[in-house]
Amino acid sequence: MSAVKYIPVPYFLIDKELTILQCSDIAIETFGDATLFLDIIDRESKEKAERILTSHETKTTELVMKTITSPYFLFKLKVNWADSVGHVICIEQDDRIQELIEAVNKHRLRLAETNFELLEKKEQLETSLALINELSAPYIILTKGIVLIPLYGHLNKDLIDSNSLRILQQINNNSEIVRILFDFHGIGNITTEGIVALRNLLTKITLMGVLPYIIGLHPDHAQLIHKSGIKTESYFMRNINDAIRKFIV
Amino acid sequence: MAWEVEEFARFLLNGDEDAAWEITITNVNRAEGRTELFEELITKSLQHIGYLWETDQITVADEHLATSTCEYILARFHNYMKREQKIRQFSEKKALFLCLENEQHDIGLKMASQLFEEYGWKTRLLGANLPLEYALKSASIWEPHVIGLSFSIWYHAEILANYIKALEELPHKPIVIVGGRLLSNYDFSSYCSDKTRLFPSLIELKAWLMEHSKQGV
Repeated sequence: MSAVKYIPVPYFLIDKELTILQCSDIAIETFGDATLFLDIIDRESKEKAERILTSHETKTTELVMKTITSPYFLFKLKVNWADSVGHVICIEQDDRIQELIEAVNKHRLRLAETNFELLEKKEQLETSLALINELSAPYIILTKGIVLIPLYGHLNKDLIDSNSLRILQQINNNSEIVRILFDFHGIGNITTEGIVALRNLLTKITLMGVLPYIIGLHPDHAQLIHKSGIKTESYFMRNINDAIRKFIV
Repeated sequence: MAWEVEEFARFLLNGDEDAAWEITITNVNRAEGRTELFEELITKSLQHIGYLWETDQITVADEHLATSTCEYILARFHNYMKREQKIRQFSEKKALFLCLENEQHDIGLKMASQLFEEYGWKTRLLGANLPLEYALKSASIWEPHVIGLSFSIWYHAEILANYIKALEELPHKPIVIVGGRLLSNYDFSSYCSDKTRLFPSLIELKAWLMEHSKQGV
């Protein structure tokens, strides 16, 4: 009796025309009775199967096959040809790997979503930050000819950049403005880039015929501005009281 | 300029999301538009990956990685288009998308859904492997004008016929459209009604959309 019958995997002996000569019991249990090897191959895989098997070369391949339980199941096939007879074993694709792939996919999708949510939040934050910067330099007309701009937060390039254009436009729209008072009471840290940006803004204001004043400098700010060596084209006053007394009262 | 199909496919197979995204984003502003990006770059690359499997150059496990990378690219692309405000919703028309039960491939569905959004439709993507009862429930509550079905396994044709029949019989009479790679190789018209529309590729879908959307882009 042939040992083929008891081989513990689906095993086929086929001839050159791909007719099944012999097979293991497990092959019949898995695929049912078939005469032609191509009969147990899925329609979409037939072309591939035929090409590979009729090349009569020793090969490993993957094919979708028809089993008794499912018309569509992935198998790995190992084929070896000797004396015009092909020996084929079919190894089922492991279900557990499929489960793992699905689990990994789910995690991946979740990660991707979180990633995009973070991106959106980041953009929202950036918009808010721009708005905060704009609100950190309100333009207050104290009296005819005098504008007070209290600055809040840290004096950096962003703070000045997000407000320069608006301030210059407002000056342009109101020809009566003589002085602009920048109040530093609400300023925390200052950076060199911030001072340079402010200097540029003050130059532009001066060019438009308006006198810029810096008031309420903290001793630390004064020291930093002095140390930076940047010359701001503006007048300085100690605090808002002095300014009001001098210009308004 | 030729589309970098093989290169894109290689990045998908390597799971190289950044490199694949780079190609996508450099091509997004090409004159041909998004449909062509989907069809000529993404679909063609996936077909190329199919060819690599046919010729035993890769295994199904490699294909899984490529699919997963591609899903990421599509999700990121969708997000990108939303941010760039290239997706506008000015129409009241609604479209619902799903894969038949036991169908796992929803990349085509995702691309179709994004195309509908480009033409101003509101869309809902129910995804892969959706049993008919859930599809019916969802469709009868939301009442979409169009229901898009995707299928890619030919012996599911009978199931497809059931889905089409049941969905077309809904009281609000939705139009059922079907997409999938098999449509260009086999004739499935006997599984459909005379109202069902079959789209073998996104190019045909785009032509239909241009005709049936209030405004194009």
